[in-house]
Amino acid sequence: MTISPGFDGAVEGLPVGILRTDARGGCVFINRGACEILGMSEAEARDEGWRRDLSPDDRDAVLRLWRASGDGGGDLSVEIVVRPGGREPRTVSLRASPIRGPDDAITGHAVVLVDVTEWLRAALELRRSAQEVEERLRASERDLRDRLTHLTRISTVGEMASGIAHEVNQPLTAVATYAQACRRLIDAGEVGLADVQDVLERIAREALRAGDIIHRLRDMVRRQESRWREADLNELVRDVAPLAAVDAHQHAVRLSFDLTSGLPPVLADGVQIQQVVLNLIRNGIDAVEEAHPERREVSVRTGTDGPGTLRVSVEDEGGGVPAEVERQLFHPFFTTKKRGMGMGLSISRSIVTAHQGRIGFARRPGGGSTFFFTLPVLDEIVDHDP
Amino acid sequence: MRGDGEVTVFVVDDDPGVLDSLGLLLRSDGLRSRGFASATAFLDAYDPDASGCLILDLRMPEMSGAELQSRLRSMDSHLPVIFVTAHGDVPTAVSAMKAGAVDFIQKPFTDEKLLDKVHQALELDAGRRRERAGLEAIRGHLDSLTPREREVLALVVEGKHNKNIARALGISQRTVEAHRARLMHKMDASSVPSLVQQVMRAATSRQP
Repeated sequence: MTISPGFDGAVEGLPVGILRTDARGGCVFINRGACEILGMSEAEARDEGWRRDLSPDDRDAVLRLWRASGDGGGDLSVEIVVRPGGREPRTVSLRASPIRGPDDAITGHAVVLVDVTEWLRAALELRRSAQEVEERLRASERDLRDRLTHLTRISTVGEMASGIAHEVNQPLTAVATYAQACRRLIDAGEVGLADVQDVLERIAREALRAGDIIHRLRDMVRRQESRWREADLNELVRDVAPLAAVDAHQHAVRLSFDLTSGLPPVLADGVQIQQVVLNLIRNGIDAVEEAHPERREVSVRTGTDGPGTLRVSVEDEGGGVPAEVERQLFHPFFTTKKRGMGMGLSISRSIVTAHQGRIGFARRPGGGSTFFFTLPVLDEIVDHDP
Repeated sequence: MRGDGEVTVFVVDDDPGVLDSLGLLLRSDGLRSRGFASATAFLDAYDPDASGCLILDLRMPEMSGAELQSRLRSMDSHLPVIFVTAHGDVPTAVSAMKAGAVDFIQKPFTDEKLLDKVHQALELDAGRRRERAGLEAIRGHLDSLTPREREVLALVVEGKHNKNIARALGISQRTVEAHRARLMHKMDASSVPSLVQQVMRAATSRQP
């Protein structure tokens, strides 16, 4: 593209900056738009003047490009920073096309300048609001998942209510019986102070036991924001064991724990991981409930699963997972049981996935299943986004 | 019965607190007790001759109270069983009662209620034992009779007079009288009705 001198008057009033240089890059024409962008008068822009307020780096870059364009004869396009008259910096898009004479030699350049500062600002703003919207969506999705997770926990506790009542009733029975026995012994004058103290201690122990079960229960049902922190996987499993034991006891199932000590810490929402553990154990209990007494056992193990990964597995000797059920196992609202709403494994998977782990199951030789999930150890987590 | 060192209240409960506190309550009433944390532990230590009663938790892992009860029945145990149940277990408790438990009580319970039931069970056990002891005595007496004395006994019980018995057995009336005196003595019977009663009891009771 070339611009002939006759056009100079026509482009004078355009809202973009236009200037023409000679072969050395000296300005021979500048319109009003370019004067405004560069913050100078037409006279000041003459020759080398138009480059005065370019940032030093850009000035060098423009000169280099100029020479390259002169050698190679191509268009050049660059974004430069200008401080017109030393004021606030503006971002300006510069496009230059060589002008060729009759012998095809480059006689100068036609330069178009556009102040893109506002466009860039608008684009940045747009990107920021897009990110904000995305973040809000993610947050509400997270919130929904948390609510659903919490709801499933409550429903689990609801299903366990009668077992829990039984389990709280035991220490209460012991408390009442100790107290009554102690009173009788005192009435009969058959008892010394030390004996009474001993019984009182036992009463306290039983009362605390009842309180402990209620305490764990409250932890499970309390609506809480997800709390991610460094956690000891074994401790999480041990803490949920009493609740799991309630269910095991009610269904006359033995529950055993084999926890590998010295495991590195994980980053976890403790209550949610406990929810997964409890869910897998309860599934195991359901699987062996109808089994012969000798097979009514569920084993929980912790250990490593390759480098940088921990694993919790729950083994049962039940009937195993039927092939036709396998594909739907982790689907929401899928259940083969009398109790429950079929959210257990689905929620468990979403929790484990949010922890950058995976959940699955394997058939055990001789019947039964192993359900497991893995968690990356804390040091292995790259970029955590729950 | 109270404070009688011979009888033992056996307690089977998998909850250590309940087990321990029950032991203390029984002790406070002067009763001897033995606690077991599981049905199998109880069976391992079970002595069919032990007298007393059994307080049995219905809901236990491995072997439930109901399973232990049926196991004991199959072993022809006479130990009276009191079931201890949680609130929701009433239907199971009812079926346990049908299966021969003497009573059941819900957790938590008052001391009087439990001890009342224990004493009733112990009395029942003592009564059954007296009954069995009496029966065994009768059987012992019967075993000590000679064949001829047994023949005479059968005819006496039928209400035959000595004359008829002598004729039926082809012996003298005097000999019948001698046999009769000896068997009355051996059977520890003071009269014919008492003798008849003993023989009836032995005949109608189940053989051990």
